[in-house]
Amino acid sequence: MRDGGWLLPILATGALIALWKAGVTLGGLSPFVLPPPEAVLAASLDLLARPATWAHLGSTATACLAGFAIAALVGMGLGILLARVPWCDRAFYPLVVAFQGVPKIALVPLFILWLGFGMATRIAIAATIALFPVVVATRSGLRAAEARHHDVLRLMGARPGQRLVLVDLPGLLPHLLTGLEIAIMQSFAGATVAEFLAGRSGLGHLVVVSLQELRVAEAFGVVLIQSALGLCFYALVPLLRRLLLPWQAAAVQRY
Amino acid sequence: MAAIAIRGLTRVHQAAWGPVAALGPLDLDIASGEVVAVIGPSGCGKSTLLRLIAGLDAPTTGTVAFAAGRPRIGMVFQDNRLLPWLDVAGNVGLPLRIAGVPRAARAARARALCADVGLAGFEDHWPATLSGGMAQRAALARAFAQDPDILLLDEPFAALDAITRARMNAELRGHCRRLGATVLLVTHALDEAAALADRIVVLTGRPGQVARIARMHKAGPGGTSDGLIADLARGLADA
Ligand SMILES: Nc1ncnc2c1ncn2[C@@H]1O[C@H](COP(=O)(O)OP(=O)(O)O)[C@@H](O)[C@H]1O
Ligand SMILES: [Mg+2]
Repeated sequence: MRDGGWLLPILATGALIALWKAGVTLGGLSPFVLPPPEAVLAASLDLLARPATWAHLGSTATACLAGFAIAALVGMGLGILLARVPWCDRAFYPLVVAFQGVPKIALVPLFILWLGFGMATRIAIAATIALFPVVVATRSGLRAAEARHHDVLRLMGARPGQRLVLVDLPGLLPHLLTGLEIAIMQSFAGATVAEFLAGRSGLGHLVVVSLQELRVAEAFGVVLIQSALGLCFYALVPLLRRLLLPWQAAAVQRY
Repeated sequence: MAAIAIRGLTRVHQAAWGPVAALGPLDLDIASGEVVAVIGPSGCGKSTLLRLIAGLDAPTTGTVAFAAGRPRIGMVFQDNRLLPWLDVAGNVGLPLRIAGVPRAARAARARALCADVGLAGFEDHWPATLSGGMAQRAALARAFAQDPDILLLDEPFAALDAITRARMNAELRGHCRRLGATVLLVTHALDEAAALADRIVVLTGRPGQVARIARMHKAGPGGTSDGLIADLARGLADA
């Protein structure tokens, strides 16, 4: 953070909350439409004090991370297949692109039909939604492997295995991490939607229940907790990036 | 026998819009330990020639034969082509790593090579943090790490500023003498060619063919005469 550090974002956040508070008190909004910020904060603290909330959170995290893990493994496998087997690419890449256009949420009823209302459905939905960013990133990352770098290694008499380890995989990594970054957020969104529609547990389910019982501040409190969880997931990949790609951080520093 | 014997060499590239005759037919003999500069208009096939010699590209017709059977060939390109994910020492030591040299011996050799090209203290820098000149030094050191019989330089300093380029050229002359390798240098700059080379090969426009060959006489102070350069420049304009 340069140029004023954290001060400016904190001020901006404060201003937005003040605007929210002013809207509720001066605008006379009903707390059933928009509860005041302090009520939301109190509700989420109250929620966090209950073990049941943590069980829901664990359930959401499980669906999200399991779906993400499946998407990452299967996606990398498919991406490698497409990048390395030309006829596979010709046959299946158009399908991959076409499937990008399918609103995956629309498949939720089908998954419920096939897998029921349990965790399996939520993991399957999260994985389905997160899969394609990984496939596309892996495929393009491997295809982008630069001929100029391969030239250098061929000149040194490198075997194909050495070129894979020294050029293809390190070159793939930045693309892959971008794909994974998208995938984890998609997986989280998928898990949440699945909880709305097919959940008996999970934070998404908790939102629905709170609203049904007209505990609006609590519903907002759950959203706050969901946001915090999402932020944790979102922070995961940049952390991985800094760990795995120190050479890229160096490139950023220079400019 | 010549270190490199080029006979009837041609290369036709298949571009999207059809075949492009990039080079030849070309005949050229290069003696062992000779430093030959290749100049010619851009697009005349100079890079193609070096890639054919390096075995990175296959001739359409003709042959490239080496006296040494399978010589070790080091190459430096206009862009440094360092692997961004290896630090300077890792890049410089890459040929050794590929040859299976143990880590410790590799590191020691890489350090020595870095020192040779003026990169002492930069061993653990990432390529992205190097200046253009520094990166090209690392690329040179990497080529030297192959202990090359033949050194191919494809406009190695063309992207550098004039001052850095002059300095790198002066250093390159020292390296060439030290290595005793056969050197093929592609360059745009006539003065650069004249200062470094034993012979200058001037190519015609695409497809590149030998327009003329000038032998530089380095005897005496000053070495080359400006008259010769002017003469070559005229030849280049005619080519
Ligand atoms: N891989 C390639 N495919 C198609 N055309 C190429 C390829 N490589 C080079 N060419 C063409 O061949 C000609 C000679 O290229 P090059 O050897 O790079 O010339 P120079 O290095 O002298 O500028 C140019 O017209 C270039 O566009
Ligand atoms: Mg060129």
